[in-house]
Parts: sequence; structure tokens; C-alpha cells
Amino acid sequence: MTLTPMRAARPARVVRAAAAALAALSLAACMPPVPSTPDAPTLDAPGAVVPAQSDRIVSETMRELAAADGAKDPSLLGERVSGSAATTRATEYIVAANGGATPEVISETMLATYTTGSATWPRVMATVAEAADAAHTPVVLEWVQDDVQSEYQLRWWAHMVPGGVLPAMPGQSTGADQLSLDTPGFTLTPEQAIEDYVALLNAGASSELEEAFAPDPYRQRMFEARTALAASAAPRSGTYGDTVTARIDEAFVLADAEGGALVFLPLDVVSDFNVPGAQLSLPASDKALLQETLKARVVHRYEDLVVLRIGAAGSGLLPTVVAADHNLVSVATS
Amino acid sequence: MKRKWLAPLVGLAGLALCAVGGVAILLRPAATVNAVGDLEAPIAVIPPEVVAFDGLLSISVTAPGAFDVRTARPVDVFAWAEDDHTSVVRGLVSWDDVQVDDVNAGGSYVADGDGDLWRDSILATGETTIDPADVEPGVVIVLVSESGSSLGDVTLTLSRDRGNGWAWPVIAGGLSLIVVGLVILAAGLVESQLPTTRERERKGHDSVKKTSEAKKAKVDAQPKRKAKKP
Repeated sequence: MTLTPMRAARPARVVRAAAAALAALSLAACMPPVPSTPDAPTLDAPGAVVPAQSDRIVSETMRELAAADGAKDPSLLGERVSGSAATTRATEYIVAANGGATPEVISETMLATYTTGSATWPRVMATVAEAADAAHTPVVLEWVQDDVQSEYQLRWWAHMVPGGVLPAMPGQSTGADQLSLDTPGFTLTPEQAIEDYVALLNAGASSELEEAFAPDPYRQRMFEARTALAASAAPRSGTYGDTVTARIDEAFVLADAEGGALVFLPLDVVSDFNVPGAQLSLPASDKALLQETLKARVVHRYEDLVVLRIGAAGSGLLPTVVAADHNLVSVATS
Repeated sequence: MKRKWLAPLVGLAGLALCAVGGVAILLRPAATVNAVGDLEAPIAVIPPEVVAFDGLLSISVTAPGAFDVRTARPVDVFAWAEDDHTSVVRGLVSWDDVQVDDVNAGGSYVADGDGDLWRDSILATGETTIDPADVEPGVVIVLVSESGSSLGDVTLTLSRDRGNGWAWPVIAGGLSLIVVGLVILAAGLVESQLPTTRERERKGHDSVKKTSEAKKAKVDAQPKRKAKKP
């Protein structure tokens, strides 16, 4: 049989088409698809501050504090040490220069570090520094980061009360939940605990709230001093009183690992001693803080930190002060 | 008749499979690929999902000047860079191109290298390569130009499955078919050399006939014996 040219071309076209299809098939089969972006892995350490960060923060803070302590110069503070911590230290330098106690050196060795897993600001970081010596107890230090652009700054510290026990806290890699003051789930809300404790401090030992809190040496000393000073003023028709105010905006609450919480409560305490017609006298160290002429009235201002532990609902644990310091920051005549 | 077509058909199918497999091997893509993207902003963010890309071997950054390579929690980084002009690496557009989104063009620029936000921070210059295995899972890599100028470009080097793992089995299958076709062909050839059954039967009948005739002739040729009397 003889094929016409047209018929002969047909198989050739078929072969070419088949070859092209084959090549296309092979190419398509060869090219792996572009992978899509996977889900983000979860963080191994979701805490806001991992040990490398907290070590840096503590180290820089202590370096600044040591430099200021060495020079007794509060102007060297401000980068890492600020707020009430800087104010208290500046006062201590003046007191020390006028025969008062030397500022206690805060150890750089931290026994514990508590951070948050918070995604908002301000944030808090707390550490427990080992005791400077046998005469002192460990110190709870509180750093605050105001916003994302700011650095953590040491704002407050307080010595642990003798026998004070801090609760177990979440690990630093996880971070503790930073709670609002009205968070429920405790024997009482942090806000209520603050209100009640401040009311107790203002009312004195006779308050019905006295039984609502575990005994603590902070308020015991305050009440004893109040009683003694009021007694010394009374014979001359004088008065003595303490006015305690909570800095609610600067209070922080960290959830502990036992269902309870630690409340970091800054307080302003104004102690007013007034004996009309009298000429008061002060120790040299206090007098150094006074910018006016002392007469019948003297007002001491303190910036204190109280660390209050509250228990989980149903635990039966009374709110307990685990750390507190009474820090003199100024002396005035009104 | 059937065998006449079966062998070529099987052989051709085998050749086709070999051809497909061969083309797939010849045209196989490279095992590693470099995808490149421009970092137009002075700050670049490489989120954890990009660092977690399957097969990501390295992240290389080429910048004209010095820059910081930092890591931090995603929530902190996105708060920190909220108003800043930032290049955000999103993933791959193709095997050659990295998808980079330019965010807040004309926005602010804050270098602040010593912030407490950063889990790690190192100063780099020129071309710098980051091994994803060295990056803590879940953190964001942040690149910050020291001068505030554009960073340059980022290269993601990935290993990939070439997608031709099937080629060798296909070639093996094709070769097997070719062998089967050849066997069929050989069998046909051998069979064509052998006599058919009819021929064998016919040959067999003739030989039987010849044998019986020969036997008969032999019997006739023998002298007849007398039967013995009992």
C-alpha cells in the first residue's frame, strides 16, 4: 500500500505531540510545589524576661547602684534605679553623711527571680536578693518596665519580714500572670486586700480588721511608734498621727503557683507630730533632711513597699505581709 | 496474530516509561534553592513561622552597613515596631522570590540597641548568615540598620524534595516491560521455527502408518511354524 504525504504526516504529528506531552508531564511532575508558610511554633520560654535578660538587668542595676553608693551621689542614679528607690537612696546618703546609718549594700546574688508572661505594659519583675549579712533579711526588689521602649528600672525594695515565706512562683521561663487588682479567685481580691490593709494601718491595732490579716512586724512597729509618739505628745496637748495612702496605680499583682497571689503595694505614709507652743528637736540625721526651721511641728514622709501574700479562694490563708520597708524620704514642718 | 502485536506494544510502553523517567531525571530541579527578597526598610522582621520553614538551611542578610541581629518574643516585637518603617518577611512567592511586605513606609525609626526587649543582640556587617537551628523556636528575628538606611536583601536557602523520586521506579518498570516484550518476541520467534500441531499430527500419522506397514511386511516375511502337538 502506498501512503499519501498527508497520511504520512499524521503519525509524525502524533509522535511529536506525544513527546511534547511526555516532556510536559515530566516537567510538571519534576517541579515540587512552593511550600506555604507553616504555623508559627510556640515559644519554649514565653516569659517576658528570660534569665539572660534578667541577669543583664540586675547586673546593670547593681552597677549603677554601686557607683552611686561609692560616690554617695544620687545624680548617678536614674537609668536603672529610679522612682522611690532612687529617692530613698538619696535620703540615705544624706542621713549617712550626718551620722546616720550607712546605706545597706544590696547583694547582687539573687535567690529567686519572678517575671511575668504579660503582653502589655507596664510590666513588673521581682527578685529576692540574698541577705547582706546576718543582721538583715533577704530583700525583695521590684523593677518596672513602663512601656515597650523603656528599660526595666528598680523602683522599690523591701526586706522580708522575719519568718516571712514567699509562695512558690511560676518558673521564669513561663512567667507569672500579671493580674488586675479586681481579679477574683482568692480569699479576697487584691484590691480589697489593699483597701483593708490600708484601713487597718490607718485605724491601728484596735481595728476590727486586725484579725483579718496575719500578724506582721511592719504594722506592729508602726502601731508601737504611733502609741509612743502619741503618748509623748499628749501631756502637752500635742498630737501624733499617721496617714497611710496606697499608690494604687503603682501596685502590681503576680499570680503564684499555688493559686494565690503576691501583691506589691507601694504606700505613702505621712507621720505628723505636732505640739503647739513647743520647740521640737530632731536627731542630726533627720535635721539634715529638714530645709526649714523646726518649731512645734514635724512631718516625716515615708515611701514604703509592702509585699502582701493572699491565698487561693477556700485556702483559709489570711493575707500576710511577707516583706515590708519603712523608708524615710523627707522631713518638713508641714 | 495477538503475539505479533503484543511484543511491540509492551516494548513501546516500556520505552515510554523509560523516557518519562529519564526526562524527569534530566530535568530535575536543584536540591537547594536560594530565594531572595528586598529589605527596603531600616528594620526587618523575620517571624517565627518563616524561621520554621521546612528545609530552611540558612537566612542570609546582605546590608550595605552595620546592623543588629536581635531576637525577641513576637508580641514584644510587634509592639516595638508598631509605628516603624519595617520590612516583614512573610514567606515564599516562588522558589526564587521571598515575599516581603513593606509596613509603615515613611514611619519612624528607633534603633535603641540596648533595650530589655531583646533576648539576643549581635552587631553584624556585610553579609551575615543565620542558622535557623541556632534560633530559639517561636522568637522573631529583628534586623535593625545602624544608620537607618535600607537593609539590603534577604536570602532564604532551602533544601527541597526534587519531586522525582518516582522516576527510577518508573524507569525500572519500563525496563521490565521491555524485557517482557523481548521475551514475548523471542518466544514467538522460537515458536515459529517449530512445526505446528497439525504438522506434527500429520507427521505422526504418516509414521504410524509406515510402521504398521513395515511390521506387516516383517510378519509376512517370517516362515510359518507348525503348531506343536500337545
